[in-house]
Amino acid sequence: MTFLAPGWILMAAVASTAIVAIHLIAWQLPRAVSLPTARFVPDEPARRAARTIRPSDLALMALRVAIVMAGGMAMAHPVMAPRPSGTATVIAVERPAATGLRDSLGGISRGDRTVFVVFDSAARVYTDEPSALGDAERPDPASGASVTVGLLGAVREGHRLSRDYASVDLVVISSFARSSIDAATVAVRDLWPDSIRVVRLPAEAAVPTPASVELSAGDDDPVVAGIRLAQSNGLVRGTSRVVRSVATAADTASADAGAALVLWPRAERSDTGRVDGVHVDGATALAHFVHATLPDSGRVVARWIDGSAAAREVPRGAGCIRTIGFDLPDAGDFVLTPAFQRLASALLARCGVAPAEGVAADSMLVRLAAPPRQVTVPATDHDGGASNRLAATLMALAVLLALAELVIRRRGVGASRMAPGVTA
Amino acid sequence: MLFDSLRGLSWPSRRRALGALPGTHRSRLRGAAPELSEYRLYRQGDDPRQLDWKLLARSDRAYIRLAEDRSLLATWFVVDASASMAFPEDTRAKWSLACDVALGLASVALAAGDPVGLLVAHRATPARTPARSRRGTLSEMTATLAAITPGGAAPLAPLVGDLRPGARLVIVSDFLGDEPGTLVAARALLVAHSDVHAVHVVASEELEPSSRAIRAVDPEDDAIARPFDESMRARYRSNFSGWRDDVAAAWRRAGATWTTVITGEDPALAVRRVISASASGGLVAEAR
Repeated sequence: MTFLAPGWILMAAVASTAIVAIHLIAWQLPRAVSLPTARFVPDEPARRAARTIRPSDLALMALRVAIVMAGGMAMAHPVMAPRPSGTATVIAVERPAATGLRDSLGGISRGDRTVFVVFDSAARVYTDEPSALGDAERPDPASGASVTVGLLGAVREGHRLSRDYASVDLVVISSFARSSIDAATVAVRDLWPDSIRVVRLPAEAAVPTPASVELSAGDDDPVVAGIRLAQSNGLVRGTSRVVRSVATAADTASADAGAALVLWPRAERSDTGRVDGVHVDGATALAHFVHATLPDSGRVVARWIDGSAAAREVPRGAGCIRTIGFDLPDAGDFVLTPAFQRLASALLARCGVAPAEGVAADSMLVRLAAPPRQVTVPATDHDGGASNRLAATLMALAVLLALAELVIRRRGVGASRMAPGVTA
Repeated sequence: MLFDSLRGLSWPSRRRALGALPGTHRSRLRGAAPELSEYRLYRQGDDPRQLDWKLLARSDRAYIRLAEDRSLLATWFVVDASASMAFPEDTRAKWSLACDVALGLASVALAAGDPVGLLVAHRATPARTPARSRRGTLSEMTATLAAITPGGAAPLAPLVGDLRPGARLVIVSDFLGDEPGTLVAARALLVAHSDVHAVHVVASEELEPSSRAIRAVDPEDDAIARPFDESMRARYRSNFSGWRDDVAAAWRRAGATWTTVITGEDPALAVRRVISASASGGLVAEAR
């Protein structure tokens, strides 16, 4: 048997201790002394309290302790259920599955039991991994995934498993596209009191679009390597031409033809830059940046964290010319990080159009992963019927014992009134 | 020691004695005593030997020569030997003082030639010593009292009611038993020209009980058991004092003397106070 509110048991134990202590203070009659003039003593009730090492009125004391303990146990909401043990893992997987899902699943430590929740606009629960993978990897272009839905399903399964398992881990694997986060996501996340492991995967293009990136640089250029990695992850959409040196007529012609000409001048290779942040499309990339000059005109497509422009775009023909005001030092692996890939995705997007699929900010992921400050515990069943019956039985027992105590106490008072010279 | 200190005391009766035998108390009879009291005209039936012949010869009138007679007066002691007199339990000071006062007064009465009798209210069968004036009476009384251990709740009233009128009665008691009945019986004797003396024996522990919290139990009535502590002392004193005053006033109104003796007091002094109360015509002679 477990108690949902064990604090009441503690309070009942403290009250019982107080009752026993009170019974240790026994009312004792004074010593009887012969006094011929006793009739002139005022006939008033008087008793003297004296401590004794043996409790007085054992039956009454036992009844009172039983009343308090029964009431305390009833208030503690007892549940006749086996004590949970072991660990369970709930893995929520976004559908359609992004690249690297299987690798991510392989890196997740499992508990004694694993439950999969595959979610897009609805959540489906699977108890075996092959079925879950089969559902998650099934292409469905029309479906838009919702992290809120996935969290709801995962939290529900987590609470269900917490009855049988001492520890339940929640894992959410998703690309965390901005469109999958809504206003209810944080509130739903707060339904789970513990931390949630968040695994972000590169987002698959919902609708494959032809991407064409022309790079005018060698393979030793870190920016080129990062762009290619983003391109391989499907983050680069549209037609763009990245020029790392001086633009030629052919480059300008491509802009006239509708491509995005990205002028990303290369800085001195010895320049290591300084730590700064570039904010673009809701995400901020922090790294060592080498600042470069920017034209004063054009639409700002990226900003430094101090608000100044980090990239500008001017239309040209059917396309545009986008000038990048920073470069990356050769040293470092920033270009391999998802942050740079999101940055590159935004900077290489189609002209005049925001990226088709932004991703949620890292701060949102941190918020989802960290335990909530205020836990909102949902009303769960917890075998409520049996628990309520047991609590009601204990409460009825306490009432019956209270009545018995009343009867015994009245009899005791009556007996003491019969005794000569003794009044209650 | 007690008897020595009381030697030479006289204890005159407050009322004229009815006895015929000559003694030290003024008698209600007037006869041929040497001491002339008054002349009275001869009436038929008078003793002709009391005629004053010389006055008859001078005045030709027959006068009877009356003289103040003195007679003996039987003195009865009714001593309370109930359980309340065995207080305090360790010293029984009340009983000792009651015995000393009774024996001291008896010694004074016996010294005047009065017969002295003893009644002890003790349990079911009261001890009784007939009224005698012979030598050894005091020893007999002493032995009788010494053989008694106070106990029970013997009433005084039956013993007082059985006494003949005209005698002198001394009741030595704490009057915590049947005091109202005893007063009724004593009042009947007082009406019949008896001389009644009430000696109230009080223990100092009764006036000032222990300051410790106790459960006071009446030795003669187990139903009276009351807690007593320091907070009740003032009201206890008031109750006890008021009762003593009421009882003393009632007995004095009836014509008896009332003397309170307290344990620890010199018995000889207590005896003198009782005698003094008698000599002052029943005026109060309280110790306190």
